[in-house]
Amino acid sequence: MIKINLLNGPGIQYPNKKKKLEEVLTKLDIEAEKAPGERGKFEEEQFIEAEKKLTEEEAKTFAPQARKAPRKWKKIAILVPCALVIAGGIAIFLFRNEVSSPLSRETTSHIPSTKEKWVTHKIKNTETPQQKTKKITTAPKITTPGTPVEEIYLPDLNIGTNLLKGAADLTRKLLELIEIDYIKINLSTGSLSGILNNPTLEPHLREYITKWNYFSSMDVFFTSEETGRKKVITIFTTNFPSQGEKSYKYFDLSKIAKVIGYSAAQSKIPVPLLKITGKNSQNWIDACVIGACNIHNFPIFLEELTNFNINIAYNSILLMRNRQGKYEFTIELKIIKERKNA
Amino acid sequence: MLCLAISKDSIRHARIEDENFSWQNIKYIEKTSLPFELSPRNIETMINQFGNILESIIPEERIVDEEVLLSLPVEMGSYKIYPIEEKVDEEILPQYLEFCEEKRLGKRYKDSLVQFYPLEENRFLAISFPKRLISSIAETISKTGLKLRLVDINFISSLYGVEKIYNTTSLSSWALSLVCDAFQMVALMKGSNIISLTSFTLMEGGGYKILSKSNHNEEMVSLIEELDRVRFSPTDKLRTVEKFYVYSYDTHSDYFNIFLTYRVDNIEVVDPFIKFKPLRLYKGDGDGAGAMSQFTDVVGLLYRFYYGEL
Repeated sequence: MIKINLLNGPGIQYPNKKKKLEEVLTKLDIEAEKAPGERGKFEEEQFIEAEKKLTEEEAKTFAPQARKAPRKWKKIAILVPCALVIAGGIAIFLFRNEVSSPLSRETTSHIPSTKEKWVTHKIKNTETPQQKTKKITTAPKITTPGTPVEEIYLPDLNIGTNLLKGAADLTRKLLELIEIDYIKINLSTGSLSGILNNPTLEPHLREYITKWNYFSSMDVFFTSEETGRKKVITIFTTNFPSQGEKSYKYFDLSKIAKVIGYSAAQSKIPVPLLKITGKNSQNWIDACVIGACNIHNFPIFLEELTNFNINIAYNSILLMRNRQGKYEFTIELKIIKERKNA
Repeated sequence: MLCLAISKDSIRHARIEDENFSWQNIKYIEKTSLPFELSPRNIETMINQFGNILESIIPEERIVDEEVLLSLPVEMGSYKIYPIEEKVDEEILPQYLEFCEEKRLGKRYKDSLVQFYPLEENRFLAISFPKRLISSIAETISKTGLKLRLVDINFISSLYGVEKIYNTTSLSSWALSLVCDAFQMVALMKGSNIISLTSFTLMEGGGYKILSKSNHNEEMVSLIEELDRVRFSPTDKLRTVEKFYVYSYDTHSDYFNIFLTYRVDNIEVVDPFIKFKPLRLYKGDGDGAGAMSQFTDVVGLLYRFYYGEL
């Protein structure tokens, strides 16, 4: 390893050729006054060659630079065959008049091919021709290897799964009725705000919320006119049942991150971050999933997550539009720690 | 002896009171925040404030002529690897390298201390650093009654530290990355030899922008592309290098957080304290691997002292 010492003065730093500090400091002061070094005995040819090389290379440190052109050609070289393959695929699809599986979106996903093979493998194995024609909402449950989670945790896990399913349903329906500003759903309450697509949709919205599977009671339903458009704010209490799946498996943090990455790829949203927010509890790890998305793909992402029966108890979901008009979400959750010696 | 490692917003510092170094003699490893953010644009602030900062971190019980090992922030300097062709005569080599650096740096050349470190395969790493920063810091340290023995660069101190902590010389290839909010710096290594140095920034929606590069070869491109993908598609293993070490001064950085949660087999967040742990160790940012990694550079300085490679 090189041993840097900026006190050793300028020039080539051959090992074991050091100078005294005083000498160096004096030299530094003198150098600061001096003009750039003169060419001296340089051989002209080498000199010109070096100059040519340097003008060809980018050399500024910590100054943003554009990528070299060849990279663009590389991209084109990759994208053109891909486009041809996709176009061919579409042609075959139209020719055969078949309905594609939602899982076949894998091939056109923007997520690179390093996606987890074990997950893909499981899904492919569980596919049947019938399932290929189904919507994502009916995608098969993904069976996962791993130690079963103790029964004591099932109610929390089921409540979380129902929260996810409920939020997916609600968001999908709301998209038909309002321009969503935010939706927040936790284990006991829900709230949302948005602008009705059409003022006449108000009764439909009220009816949908009150008939929503996990609705308990309405606390606030407030509308106001804003520049000819009707804004709606509502707060309601929720009730998520603790019944549901009878079997969940333990996944470690790495696998959980992969589940999130895979679900994002399947729903065509940028892969969000899994952020650990606290590790103090003996039994739980507090965490959250933070990301941005196209709002139409958000319900699909939630449903993709529910396909994995694993040791995650979802606590709350917040989807909101930021100042730039883009949607961001935060899903708070608890990861149950596996007790190896239990 | 005092070891001071400076990054853009803090100084990490350690003290050994005994002349005979042993890991048990490390009195403490601490961190002090800088009252401003250091960048190449505010060198003057650093020069003006350094005396006060130094006074605030030097222990009250002074030792006469106590030696100081110092590491400066990597982003204050500029780096370039020059491969030297056979036809360049040894006699004119110093002038040849200086000429290349002068061309590269332009107006900055006359204000820079330029050093060339020989690498394997007839290559030289050129390092240029603002002269005024080094000389004024050296002067301030001298006025305080301390004796400046070494001025290193934090990223290179960390490379040295990682080599000693993990005994990386046996690896066929490895890399160290400094992850900051504003940029990432990566050194691609073969044994003890630096192959390539690159700094880049990751774009929000994917992709990256190269900020600086030296000997930016295909392996480095492949490595950065793999690192970019880790954000969006968790992967089991990086293919380009046998081992990838990562550390950060921005311990709350979202991207750095990925390395702590998305466990990739051959990525390791540097834990500088796997071989020793001082009794008094700063834990203001937590005591996990992520928080501890910020001390990689100061531990690198301690190793340089321990091995007598100053």
